[in-house]
Amino acid sequence: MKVKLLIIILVTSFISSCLDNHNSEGARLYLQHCTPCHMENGEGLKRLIPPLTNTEFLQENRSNLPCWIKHGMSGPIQIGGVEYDQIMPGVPTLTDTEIANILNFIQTAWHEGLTFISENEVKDALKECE
Amino acid sequence: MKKSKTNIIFRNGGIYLVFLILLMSCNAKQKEYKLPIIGYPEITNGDTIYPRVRDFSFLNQDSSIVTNEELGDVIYIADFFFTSCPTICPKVKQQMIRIYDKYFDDDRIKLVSFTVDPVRDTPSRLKSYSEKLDAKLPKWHFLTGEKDSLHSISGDYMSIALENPDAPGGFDHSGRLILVDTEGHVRAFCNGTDPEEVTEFLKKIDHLLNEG
Repeated sequence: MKVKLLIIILVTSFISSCLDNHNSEGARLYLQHCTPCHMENGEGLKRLIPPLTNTEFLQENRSNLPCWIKHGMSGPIQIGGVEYDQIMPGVPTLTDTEIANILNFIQTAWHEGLTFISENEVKDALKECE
Repeated sequence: MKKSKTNIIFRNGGIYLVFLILLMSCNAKQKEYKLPIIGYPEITNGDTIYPRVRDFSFLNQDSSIVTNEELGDVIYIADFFFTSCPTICPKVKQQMIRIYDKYFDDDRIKLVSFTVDPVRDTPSRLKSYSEKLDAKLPKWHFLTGEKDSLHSISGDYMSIALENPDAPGGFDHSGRLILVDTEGHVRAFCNGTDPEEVTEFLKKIDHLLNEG
């Protein structure tokens, strides 16, 4: 009984520390690659850099997000009635896991109730642009 | 007994007097303190000549020619950027906006953003960029012109602007904000990507405004 309990405690603490690491990897990668334009608070800059805080836009474009992060994007987009038209550079060196971590960080930070994005979902989405 | 009491009061009074003088001299010193002129002075025939930003003539976002004389009798904050910059520029611009907002009603201050990529950054492109930032003339000039002139003038502002195919977006440039006085002397600069440094920089702008 005691051994079982110990194992449960060990396993849960291992899992939670793993999840923690993923989340903080997402935060670290976000800080490194995204904050120069989208800022720490995800709000972007005036009508030049779009915010990442609009849940509706994020949901509608869920399947595009991995491609945008990895390969960049250009052309006008509308978010909350505002048009943005600044070229976004991609980060082609990011792995599927890293992209998933960035996206899950963004979701945890500014969006409630969105389903977790898995590595496999990123992999599938990237097939559209690779 | 009485005598010694007066002595004590006198002595204490003396101490207060010394404190008062010290305090006054402190205040006087603070008032006299001026921001240094940045750069190495040249000494010719016993005269010390401090470096100034060279004369320039560029086009702003309205396609009007802007020279340093044209800017008028103002102090200005300069920075170097380009509109398709994929790295630090938006962060620096966020801090320039902070300065723009703080001194919006103060006619003694202007902002001048020099592009390092004039081939792509035409006046019309600068116009659209500035509008997206809500930056208006005559407060905030976005300047373009000859590439060599723009790149070489950056040195006068203690900044870097270089074409480099390996750099993100094709250019290397520093993200400094530079404070220039009415005589064209650089008086302070800071790292424009660091909001805390910019807070200190704002104090220097206030200080220069109060130097008179």
